[in-house]
Order: sequence, then structure tokens, then C-alpha cells
Amino acid sequence: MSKITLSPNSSGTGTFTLASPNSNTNRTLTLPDSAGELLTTTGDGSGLTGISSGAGTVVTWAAFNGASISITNSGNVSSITDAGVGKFYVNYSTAATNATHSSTMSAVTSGFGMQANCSPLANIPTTTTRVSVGTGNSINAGFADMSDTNVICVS
Amino acid sequence: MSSYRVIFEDPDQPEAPAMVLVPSDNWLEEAKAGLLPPISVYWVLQDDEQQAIAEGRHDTFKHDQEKHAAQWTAPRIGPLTEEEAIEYLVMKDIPRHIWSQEYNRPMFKIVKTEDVPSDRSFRNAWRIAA
Repeated sequence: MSKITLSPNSSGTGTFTLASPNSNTNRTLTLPDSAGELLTTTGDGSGLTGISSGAGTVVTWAAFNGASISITNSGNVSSITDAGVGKFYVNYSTAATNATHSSTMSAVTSGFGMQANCSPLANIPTTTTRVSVGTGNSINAGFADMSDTNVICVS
Repeated sequence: MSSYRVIFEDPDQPEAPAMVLVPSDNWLEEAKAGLLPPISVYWVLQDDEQQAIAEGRHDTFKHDQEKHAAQWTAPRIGPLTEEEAIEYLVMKDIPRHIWSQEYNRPMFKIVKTEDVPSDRSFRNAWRIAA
């Protein structure tokens, strides 16, 4: 039989009370079989994972300058790899659960206007840890660096 | 912005230009704040995915729930200096065969940001200097 221990904190002076709601129904609250802290309505849930609205979750997003190779801002990005003119990899801080992402990318730079193009690199599979980004000129299909490159992946 | 960049080449792609790893400032802040798990957490995930790719089942691959959750539940390794964080990043974001094996010349170098050329005219000809 497993045991339940109530462990007071020797440093604190407050009294913590376990209170029942106003109810006539018997209830059982089963604690999760893992270590950690329970959250309340006022707790910080930033460490929670696997929460989905049903419409998927954002795996990563990044805004970077492909001409100067600097990251403007990002979410869940540990680094960006510059693999040559117009070729990049966005590396995730934390791996996704699977690699079936939907990626949306855009790029623009001075002088290219609407002929700028951006998409994942051909024959480079997206993995749970990175997505490839290719930027270039849609007129001649050549790779080119773009000053404003944006990527968002959802899963 | 990080003071460092990592230049590396992939021996499996001898014709490809040298690549430049640019750390994310947000990630560096997490590393300095001691929020990273042991690097082995990522290696386990990479190994599982590589095996799925090798076995032709990457399309339906999904990480083991417990191994995946270890990214958050594993004990943190504590605050890193920027230099330690860059070394950690090398082992996390650069393919393992590049930095874990010995070759007849260096396959990666950690350099100061200002040492990376800003002129990209010949970007696709970049190589690691001997």
C-alpha cells in the first residue's frame, strides 16, 4: 500500500488548510503519478506542455535577417544555421512530438518586391528538431538572402 | 546578441559551403538562467528519430511521451556561462558526426561574431580556414 505524508515547511509560519467544497457527493481527487507542483488558477503555467485548443499548437516561430544572419525575435528557437546563400535551418529549443508540421514562411528584401520566394528546402525533411528554410528569386529560381525572413510552424 | 558563432562543415557534404550557427538570444538567456536539461535528453530524442528515419517510418514517427517530457521534467543543469552555453549548443544543434569524430582537419570552430565576414558576395565558397 502506498502512503500519504503531509510535510509541513519548517521555515514558514502560515497555516495551510485542505478544505472541502459545499457538496453532498463523495469525490476522490487522484494525484498524478509524478513529481512536481500543482497549479492553481493564479499559478504560472508556462512549464506545461501538450496543451492544445484542438487547432494545434505552435511548434516554433522565427523572424530573422537572412542577409546579416541575425535573429530578430523567435519562440522555441535555440539557433539558426546559415547553410549558404538563401539556405537556413531553424533549430528548435525543445523538440516537437512529431515531424508532421505545417510550415508557413515568407521573405522579402529590398529590390525583390513580389518576386521574393520562401519555402522549405526540397529533399530536406522536416524533423522534430529543425525545419529548413529556402529563400530566393521566384523569377530565375535562384537562391538569395532576404532581409526579412519569417517562419512559423504548427503541429 | 551572442559574442560567438560556430562555423562548421559536414564531411558528408564535401561540396557544401561552411555553415554558420547563430545562437538565439532567447535561448542563451535560458541557458544562463540554468533552465536547460542535461544534453543527453536531446541525444535520446535524436537517436530515436534517426532510427525511425533509417527504418523508413519517419512519416508516422512520434516521440515516446516520457522521453519527450524529459525536456521539461529532467533536473536542470544549472546556470551556464555564455561559453559553456555555446559548447552545449554545438552538441545540441550540430549533427553529432561532425563534432564527435576526429577528422584530418577541424570540422568546426567557435569564433567571435565579428570574425564572420559581413560581405556575403562569395558566401557559397566559404570554408573553414586551415
